Amino acid sequence: MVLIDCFLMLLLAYGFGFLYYGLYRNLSARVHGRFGPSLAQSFFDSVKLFVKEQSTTFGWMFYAGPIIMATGAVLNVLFIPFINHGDSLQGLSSSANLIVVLYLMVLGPLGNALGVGSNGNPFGVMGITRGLTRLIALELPFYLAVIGVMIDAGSADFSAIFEAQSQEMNLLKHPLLFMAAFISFLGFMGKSPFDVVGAPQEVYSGPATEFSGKFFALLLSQSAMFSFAKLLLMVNLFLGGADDLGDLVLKTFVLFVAATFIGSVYARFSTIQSVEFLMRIPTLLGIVGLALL
Amino acid sequence: MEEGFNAYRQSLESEEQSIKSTQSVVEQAIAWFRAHSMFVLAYGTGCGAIEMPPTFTSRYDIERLGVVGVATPRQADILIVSGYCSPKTLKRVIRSYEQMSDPKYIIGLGSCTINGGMYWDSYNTIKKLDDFLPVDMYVNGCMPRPEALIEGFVKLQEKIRLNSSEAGYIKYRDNYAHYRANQERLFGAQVAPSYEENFAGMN
Amino acid sequence: MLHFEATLLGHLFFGLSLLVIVALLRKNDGLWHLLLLGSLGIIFYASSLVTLFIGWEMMGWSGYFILSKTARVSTLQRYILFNLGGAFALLGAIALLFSFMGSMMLCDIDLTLLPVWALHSVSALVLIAVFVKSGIIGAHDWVVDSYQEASPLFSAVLSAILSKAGIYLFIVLLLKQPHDERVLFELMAWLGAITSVVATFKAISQDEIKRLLAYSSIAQLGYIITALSLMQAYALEAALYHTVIHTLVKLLLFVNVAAIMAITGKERFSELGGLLYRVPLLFVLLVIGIIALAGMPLLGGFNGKFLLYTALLEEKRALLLATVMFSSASAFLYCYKLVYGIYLGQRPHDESPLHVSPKSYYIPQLLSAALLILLGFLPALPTPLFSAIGVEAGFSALEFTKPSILNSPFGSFNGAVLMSAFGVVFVLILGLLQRVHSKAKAAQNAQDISYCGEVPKAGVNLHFGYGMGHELGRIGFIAFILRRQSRRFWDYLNLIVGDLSILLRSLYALGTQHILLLSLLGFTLLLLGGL
Repeated sequence: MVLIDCFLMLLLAYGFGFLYYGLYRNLSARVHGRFGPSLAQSFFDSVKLFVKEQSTTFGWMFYAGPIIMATGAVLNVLFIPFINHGDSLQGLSSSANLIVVLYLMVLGPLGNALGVGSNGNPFGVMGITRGLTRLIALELPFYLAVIGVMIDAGSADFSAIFEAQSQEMNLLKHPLLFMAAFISFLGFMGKSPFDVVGAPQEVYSGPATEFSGKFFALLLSQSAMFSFAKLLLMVNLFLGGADDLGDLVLKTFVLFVAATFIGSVYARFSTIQSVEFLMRIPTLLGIVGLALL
Repeated sequence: MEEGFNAYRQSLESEEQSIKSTQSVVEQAIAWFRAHSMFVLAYGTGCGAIEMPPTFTSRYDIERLGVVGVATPRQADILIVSGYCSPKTLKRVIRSYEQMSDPKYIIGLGSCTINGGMYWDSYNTIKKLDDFLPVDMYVNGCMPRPEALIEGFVKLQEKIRLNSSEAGYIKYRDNYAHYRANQERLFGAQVAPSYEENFAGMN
Repeated sequence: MLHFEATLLGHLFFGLSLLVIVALLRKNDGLWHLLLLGSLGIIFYASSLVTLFIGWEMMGWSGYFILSKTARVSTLQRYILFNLGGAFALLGAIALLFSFMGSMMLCDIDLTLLPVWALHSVSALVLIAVFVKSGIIGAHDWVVDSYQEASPLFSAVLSAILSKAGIYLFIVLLLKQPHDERVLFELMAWLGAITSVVATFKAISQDEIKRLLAYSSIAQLGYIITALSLMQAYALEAALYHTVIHTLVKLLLFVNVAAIMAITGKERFSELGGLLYRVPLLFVLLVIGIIALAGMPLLGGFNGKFLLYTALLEEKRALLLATVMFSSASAFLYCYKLVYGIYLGQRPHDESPLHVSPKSYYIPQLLSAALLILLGFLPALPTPLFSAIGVEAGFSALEFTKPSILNSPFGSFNGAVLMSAFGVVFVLILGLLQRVHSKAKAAQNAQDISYCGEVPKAGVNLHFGYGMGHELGRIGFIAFILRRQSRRFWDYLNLIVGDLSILLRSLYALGTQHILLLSLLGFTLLLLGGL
């Protein structure tokens, strides 16, 4: 039963992940005044990359890097409940809690960082260093918000967090915490202005520099699923979770469109700018939000 | 013999049908995916580089065809060599091409890649890109407009869908000695390390 | 007369020490190590304050003798000065306690009997001893240099156990506090959190491997100090859990680095790199170590942090928790620097031949890696022990259901499910990836990287393990932290003490009649005071 549930969750995450990825490209094209590719374009890309005849590898650690990354993304999907009540689409979320999920989110990228480091390309490691430096500042406001949510719910379990939001969702209860978390969330989603990690011009697309063919395909697929997992987390933490599948689609979509539109109009911050920005305004928002708790 | 655009088109289609009948469904599907997702490494070697930004941005929006620019050769499917190549640039172009994963294609943008174009008597540019790298699609003109480049992409898309054995990367693999000899003649001692080992175990 | 008593807490700490010292025992300096182990035994099983103090002193000087084989004189002086200072503070606390309790036995100590000022003084004095031993920021001056200059294996001992003696001291002497007097412990909690932040950023900016590990050690002890200051059952469990994990992790990491130093003879990130495929087993062990050090789930390292976070959440200490989590997130950077700088990236160009590392380096690492994996799989395995220790200390028992489920008041998680889910998903994805049409093709050589169409030439540095984290220096807030040095404070103190001694010496130089006059004056004042 649990296995079927997990399988369904993965399927949904995969489907919605690619759909949202396609939508993202479409919507940002509209913002730019273009038409953009078809909705399934990202899916086509990933299939094409999977069937490339060659993929360059630099040894077993390089091979394992994207797999660890994808494993981390899959685990995130499995440990975050999709629906805020009942037994269906809960996956393994009863065996873990919010703190575990927060740390699982970093496990995949760290595994991938090992793969990136092992290929000996300095650009990849530059990207990783940027990412880790940015992470320092990115996590601070997010943690502040998450701590507020957990203290409010009196538990780190998702069920308790849903319970605490049954009357009024956290977005309305703690708007400042939501704002702090949302700014970090933009960064977690790799949206501008915090997308300095994979800058194609300066660091040759950063961590992804050496990944070709099936490895890059795996990275693309996991990033689609991982983005969906992050959307889910935000929905669960601040929008009260989803009552049913329709609600899930609606809430993730709203959040996703907001992130996309904001991401399409900003220019990129440098690493230092983004750290300094994140350490000031969102952190302050988070602290004030906590004080008001 | 019928003449005109329609006749040309029909002849192409019948050729396409005959090739397709020899392919399995999986091969056709793979070819379709390849044709509808093209990652481009746009190497701005010459003045043609100025035509690529409009092609990729709002005015011409080539992303509609599934064409996206990428930064590194590892992920690219298509290399655009945009205009004349000095030997110094060509060395990097070759290196980039060799690091791309099969299947890979080259678009030669502008007359300079065909015969040197207006640099036909220059002492410092190559005259025929095809001597050094297998060009799959030429886009003629000096400079070709973005429309021409898009047309080139569409033609290349058709070629990819046919999945023919005359693709450039197969030619390069099979005739590596020829291309390598040309490269060595041009660069002399400064030629980049050979990529021959890469073809071991392929075919 | 030495008094001993076996307690569970003593068993735990002595068991850890035994594990580390036996794992690291070598023929040439075995005697001193055994002496150190003996002194630790005296501390951990002492039932009277005098025994405890004797053990404390023995630990200080036996460490000194081992350190003196490799360290510079100035480092040694700093080591002994700080440790003596800590020991004197402990002695002061013991004297105060004795004057109020009238007994030297640990079981007779009842802090509720003390008046408030004495309670504060005793707490402050013991805390000084604890902070010096754990190297809390401000008193960490001796730690970094000693760790760096000690022989690699002794650094492991210093970091894995000697720093834990302070934790033991705190639990034994101060844990049974009357709960209304908390100002000092509030301070202690923040000191721990700030220590972890500052030491983390300092660690990131280091070029020598052992200095990085030393700072990371300080940061980890900061977490433990923060956990201890909360004085509740789950926080105590967090502190004890983190102590165990940190002992295992630092044993693994220092021995790993010792092995690397034996193989290459280098000890800086800027001289190392690209060893991954030369010594793959060491690489895997280090990765296990850093995953545990960073507190990632799957391995044991997460459990201690999880308990700490939930304890802080239970106490509603949001800002403190945010600070701790912030430092823990920043720790990823030095963890990655550690593994990248040594094993990943390109080999440096002045490649000298590699020596074969002795097999004995692998045993302690494999042991602690196995324990870390076990604790990841069964996170609540040691909970009954911690619970019993908590009960000994007067706390309520901890919730325990299954070894695989770690409970806390703020939620629980199942390590076995986590680990097996990871394993299954990893294998599935690996299988899928190998099945797909695309062929993996090995890159030609280490120089076959996409480098803007260039072929990297010999002599171009493609490895910047030591450059990693330099960006941090340009971020205002972090640069501010990095510029602070406690060394300056101690130098200043040194200067003042010197000046004061000159003043004092001027008294001697006054001449006999003045001294006589002064003594007469003093005597008169004393008499007047007495009347």
